[in-house]
Amino acid sequence: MNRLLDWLDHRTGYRDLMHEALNEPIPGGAKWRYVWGSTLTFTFFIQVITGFCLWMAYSPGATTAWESVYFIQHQMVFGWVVRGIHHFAAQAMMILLILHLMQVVIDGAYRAPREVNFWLGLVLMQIVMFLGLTGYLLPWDQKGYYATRVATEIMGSAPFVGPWIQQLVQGGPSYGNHTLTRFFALHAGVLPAMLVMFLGLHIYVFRRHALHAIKHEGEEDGVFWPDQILKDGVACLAVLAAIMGATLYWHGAELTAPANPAEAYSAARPEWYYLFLFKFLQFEFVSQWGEATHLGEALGAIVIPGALFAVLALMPITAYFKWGHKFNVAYLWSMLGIAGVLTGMAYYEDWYADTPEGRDFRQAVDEAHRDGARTVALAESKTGIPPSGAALLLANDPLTQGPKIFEQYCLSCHQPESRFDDFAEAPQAPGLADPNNRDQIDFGSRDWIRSVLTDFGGHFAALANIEGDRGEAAEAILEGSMKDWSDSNAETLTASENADDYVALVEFLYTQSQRPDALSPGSDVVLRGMEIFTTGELTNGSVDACVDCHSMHPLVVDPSGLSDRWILADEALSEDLQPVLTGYGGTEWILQMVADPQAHYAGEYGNNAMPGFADQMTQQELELVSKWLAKDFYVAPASEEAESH
Amino acid sequence: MTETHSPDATEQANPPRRNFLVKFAAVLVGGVITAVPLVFGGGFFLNPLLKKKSSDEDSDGFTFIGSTNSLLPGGPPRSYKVTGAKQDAWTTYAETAIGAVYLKMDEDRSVTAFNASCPHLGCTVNYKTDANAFICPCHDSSFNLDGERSNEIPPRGLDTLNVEVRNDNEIWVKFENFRAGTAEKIPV
Repeated sequence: MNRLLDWLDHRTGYRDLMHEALNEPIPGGAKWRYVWGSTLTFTFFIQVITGFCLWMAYSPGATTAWESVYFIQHQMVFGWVVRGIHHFAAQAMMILLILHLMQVVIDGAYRAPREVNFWLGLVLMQIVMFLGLTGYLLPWDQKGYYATRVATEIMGSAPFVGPWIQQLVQGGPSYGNHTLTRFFALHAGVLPAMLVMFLGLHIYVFRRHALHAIKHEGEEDGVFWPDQILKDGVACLAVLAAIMGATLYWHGAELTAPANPAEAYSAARPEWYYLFLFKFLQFEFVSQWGEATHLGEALGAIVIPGALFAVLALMPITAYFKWGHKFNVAYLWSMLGIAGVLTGMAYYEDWYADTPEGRDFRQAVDEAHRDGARTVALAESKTGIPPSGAALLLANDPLTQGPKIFEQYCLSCHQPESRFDDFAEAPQAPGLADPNNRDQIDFGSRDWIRSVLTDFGGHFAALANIEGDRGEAAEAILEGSMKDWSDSNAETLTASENADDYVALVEFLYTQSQRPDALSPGSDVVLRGMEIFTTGELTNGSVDACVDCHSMHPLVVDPSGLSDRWILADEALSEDLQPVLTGYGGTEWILQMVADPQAHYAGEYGNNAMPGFADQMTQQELELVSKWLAKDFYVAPASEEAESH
Repeated sequence: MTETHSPDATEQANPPRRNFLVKFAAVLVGGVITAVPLVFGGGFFLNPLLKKKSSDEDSDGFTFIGSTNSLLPGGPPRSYKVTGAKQDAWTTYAETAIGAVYLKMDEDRSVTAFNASCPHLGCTVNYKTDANAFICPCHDSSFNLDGERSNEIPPRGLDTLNVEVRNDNEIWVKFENFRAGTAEKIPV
């Protein structure tokens, strides 16, 4: 063995190298304050390992980036762990960088002959910050997309060359495939290569001048191996424990909904270590100075931070002057203090302040989480992710889009109780659903049907608020024959002897909507309900038969037995009567009603109080909002639902 | 470990005390902090071996290829592309190209299907009319019209696939791929 090592040493000189590396003397002995450089190198090592892994699974492209990160996060072995470690190690690196810088400045380790190494360190700091910036975009989710757009707009605001730089970074005038390929090349290629190069120089120059030791009286000298290495190792272990702890606690890094330029994201924020700059740019006086100096955004985002950074870079020179070092230390503390306060302010305003902006921010974050979880649920459904990308899953999802369309077109008349205060006008129609509570649909529910049957006047009371042309139609409804039916039959229907019959009638009507919790049209209850609908005969007494006024083509279970789907019966219970109740509360019924209420409510009833939306909404909008109101959307199995919090 | 043999041993005439326990602890801690990222990274890297393939859904595995009318009894084989549903990592394809087959009809109108992949090293073989044989463009593997190998380059003949003629003239094939380079036919 020794001969083999001798042979190797003769050819490589590895023993000298090992000696050089390990037996570096440390005047005053090993100390905890010397560990920062090693923890940084170690964290970089973690980033290389996890980064290479992610590289093997990541696909930079506008329709594949989010999708491949989803696959890493939710499908691959240790995927969320590796991604989580990479995410949190990046945060750790920033903290360690600051600690390393503080230690160097406070100890005066930047002074001659170590000036160049101080500058190399600052270059490394810039590289790490750019690594964080470029990495943030790569998942191509709403959060990274909008935060990075701000950063590239800042680049574009730079004097003279800004727009060119912006286009070069983006790979074109707007965000797209080449933005991702460029950011990825920077993040996984250019910047790490530069980091390795500068780190090599940094360590080489560091060894050249040896450690800047702080030796106190009576301290024994030490060597790097093993005393300092053990201390370094323990510090690295603590860093690793923190990274793993954060990864496990937050179940890895979050992935919000796929990037969508058409979908606003009100919670766009940079990573926390840029928050101070974000907050600084929010101050009005910064913009005013920008305008006054004709530098615009560039003043606050580039010129001022650049000048402050220049003071930092000049520290080794400043230190030549009397009081120079004291100034440097004071400068660093005040910069860190100001940055800390700005970060704290930004954090407080977003997460705790009871202001409209704070509430909006938190709501946007909640929505981003909700949309992210919804996209994952859809991606894990049988449909999977289509080749055109996961953003379409969300864009075509009735549960996601329906409430937004409803809010835009329907809400001002169909106000839910929780939103009465939002509108100056009184509601002109019954509330159908609450976009803020999108799983709950009131329209067509069993409660709704009961209310229409037994309290028609009360149920539609809001129609009385309609004025003008449609007011007449509204009045006709409120004083029409259904009102009379409800008034004269409610008592019989709700009599305790008829409780089962009442349930049966409601279930029969509810089944027509084909909602997920509807009973099969073949079930006894529904068949009994159909009987009542047709004859009006109850256990005790009778009501006026519904078929006398309503068209009804009921659903039946496919009689051929070939499929378990429900189809329309061959024969209608009644035809050519209005309002039509065929498929009542289902997607198709709602769609026709929204597009053109006359479709269901024409004939002798003449007009209807509701305007038609066929010429206001696109066909897709009509479908999405109708499907949402009919609960005709994918519902993830219960177990996954619980996990998505 | 190299102290006694180190050429620099003289320089360390007065080495500070190096406690064995400290060395041991340093190596142990160093090992742990290196192992953790490597273990998770290794598991991630081994994903293709560790993650079970999702089984094909409820379909019988047969794919519609073409019409019997496109083949002549006793005529030359023809190439058909096979399209079907495919799960490729994160992407779900409802319909995409998944391979190619050769179909040939005998005089008795029975249809034979071959996977067009060469069992040697997986290139797609060509049917050459002049040689009236299947020839692989990569390493000259050659097969006769019954799919048997006619030289020793490939380890086995072309892989036959199950064929069904449905509704009088629809040719359905159970498309499968097999491992290349082996004498037996092993599905992948």
